[in-house]
Amino acid sequence: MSSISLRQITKSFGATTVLKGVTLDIQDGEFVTLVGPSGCGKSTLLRILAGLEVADAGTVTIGEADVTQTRPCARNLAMVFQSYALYPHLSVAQNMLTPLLLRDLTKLERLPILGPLLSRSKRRALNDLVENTAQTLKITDLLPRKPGQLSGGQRQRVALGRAMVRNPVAFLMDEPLSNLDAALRVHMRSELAELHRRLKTTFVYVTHDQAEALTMSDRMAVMMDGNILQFGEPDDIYRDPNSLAVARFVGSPGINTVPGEVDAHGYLTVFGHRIAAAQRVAAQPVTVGIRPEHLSLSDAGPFKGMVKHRENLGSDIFLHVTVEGHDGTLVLRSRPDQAAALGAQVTFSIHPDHVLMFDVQGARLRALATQMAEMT
Amino acid sequence: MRDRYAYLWFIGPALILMFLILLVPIVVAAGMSFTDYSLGNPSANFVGFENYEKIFTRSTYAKMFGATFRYVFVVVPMTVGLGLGAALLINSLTRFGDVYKTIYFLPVMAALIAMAIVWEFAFHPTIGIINATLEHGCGTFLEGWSWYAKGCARTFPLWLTDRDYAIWTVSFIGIWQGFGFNMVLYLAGLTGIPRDLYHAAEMDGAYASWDRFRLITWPMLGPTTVFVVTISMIRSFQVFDTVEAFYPQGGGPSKSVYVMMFAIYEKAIQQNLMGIGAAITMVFLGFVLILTLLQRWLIERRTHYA
Repeated sequence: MSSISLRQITKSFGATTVLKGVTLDIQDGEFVTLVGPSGCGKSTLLRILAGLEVADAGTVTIGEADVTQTRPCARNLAMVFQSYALYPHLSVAQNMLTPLLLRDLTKLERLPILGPLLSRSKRRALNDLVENTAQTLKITDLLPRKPGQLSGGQRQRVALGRAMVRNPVAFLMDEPLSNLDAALRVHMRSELAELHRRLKTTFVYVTHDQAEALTMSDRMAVMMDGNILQFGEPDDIYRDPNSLAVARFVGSPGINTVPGEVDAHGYLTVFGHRIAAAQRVAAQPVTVGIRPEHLSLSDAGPFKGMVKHRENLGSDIFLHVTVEGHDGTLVLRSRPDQAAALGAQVTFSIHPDHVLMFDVQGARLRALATQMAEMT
Repeated sequence: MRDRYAYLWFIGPALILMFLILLVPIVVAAGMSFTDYSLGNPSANFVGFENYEKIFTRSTYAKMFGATFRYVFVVVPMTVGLGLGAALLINSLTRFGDVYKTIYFLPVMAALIAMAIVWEFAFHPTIGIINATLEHGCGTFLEGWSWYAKGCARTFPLWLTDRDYAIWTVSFIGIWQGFGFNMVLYLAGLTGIPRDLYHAAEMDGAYASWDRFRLITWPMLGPTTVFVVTISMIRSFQVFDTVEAFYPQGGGPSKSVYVMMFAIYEKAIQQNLMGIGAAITMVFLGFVLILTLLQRWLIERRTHYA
């Protein structure tokens, strides 16, 4: 009904090209997250979708209509800003009323003193709309206050409310949670996801925090250097990244990368141990990515290392292990009752099913099939 | 405990200076305003409220208030309005903004006495550029305007020496000289408005520039406006140098440009009537005090800003 698509969007600011021909299709009612490190162009892409920025080339369509040349308010999108951008001199109720007044009242009816007299019934209807939205968001008691008197979380809600009253075809959110403290951020994540389920409206959400992207979105687009590297469900992107850059960006703590090699017999070797068969891959040096949860402590494990640092998260303990012949440390997830002490010598193994291989350019080599559990 | 009084060393110097150069002179002036003191006299007589009575009854002082308020009520709205207008226009420019800023700010930096002499030439009835320019318009459609036709038929106004025009001419120079300063203050205020607010307004449907001005620019400039209006008022109440340059004697045709600062100068310095000069000063101080209190009240009312 009102799917959104961006086609071949390019944008440069001066000499720097921020977006290099980005194409993105968003289905109706989907929660899509654009995620990437700062400067990757995700906010610019959102602002082009909103109409606040004009693309150098490419088209934006909402539903059937090409809105590339349409002004922002006519696109019927609502935006929540990182700074919330509430009008500081207006009360919460007036803040939420503003988009409605601008949409539904004529110029004459918006005049300071005369206007309210001319449009009394219209205004009453709009006030009811504000009241209803405030009830949904549980901010009714905040309505008479000014934004300056609200906490960060409350402002966040009001900004959402101002976006919601208009019943837009899509919500655009530009890092809306990054000004909140950690606990509130986690809480708002679930609340936003729930709001999305209830409203069944399209959400386009921009963040640099991969955790937000993984937890909330139906699909996420990982952006880097003005390109979308991968677009898909969070689970797929986490398990099955297309490139080393995506694999590194998604997941916390980050994926372990170690140099490895596919030898002439088609076996993947890491630290001198064959760990898997790499079929249909030519012999070459590769980078091997292993998530912390796919390394496990085992007495029989082929790899030896020393615990350099313990990161205790309560439910899990991440052990940072140095391995001889490797510069960095490997991060390994273990249960608290199994975790080794600091400075202890440990042996561990790699789950061969979950090993990801990348060539020297960082592109994924999808060829790991055979288990090599007994190979060692 | 010696340290208990350490704070005195911190606030002491400022306190002493404030007393010596601000409060003591005010108290002395207030005291003097109840006497008929003249500089050089060994003593003075206490005359009670006689000086104040004169200020509020004699026609000279009625003219003084008339000239002062005319000046203030023309110059303040015009300098604030033009300052805001110029700031908004310059702010919307992508290039040459600095050039315009410099041009508009030049009169503020120039010595007003020197500028007054230039203006005096410009407004000169026979050799001045203003009337010469106006004469070029004679015989065109402009004559349809009766004032213009009258000017062509007889002569264009003696801007500085006609009592119907003098105060407005001086006000015009005040505006010319003052609005660049307000423009700079407004430009500073404009840079303090977050860009996101305009974007939010645009998403909400305020795409017309008037809507955006009313929804964001004007309210967000509120604190700047309070400051600009107060500063402009105080500066306008203080107008002196143009009047002194144009009319060193007597405050203009029929005392029509007899502004307060000039009255203080004339009475206290030229005529050595310290008592009445001090009394006018106290009235002047009263106006400034009221303005300042008004400003504080307005500012306090807007504490929820930002």
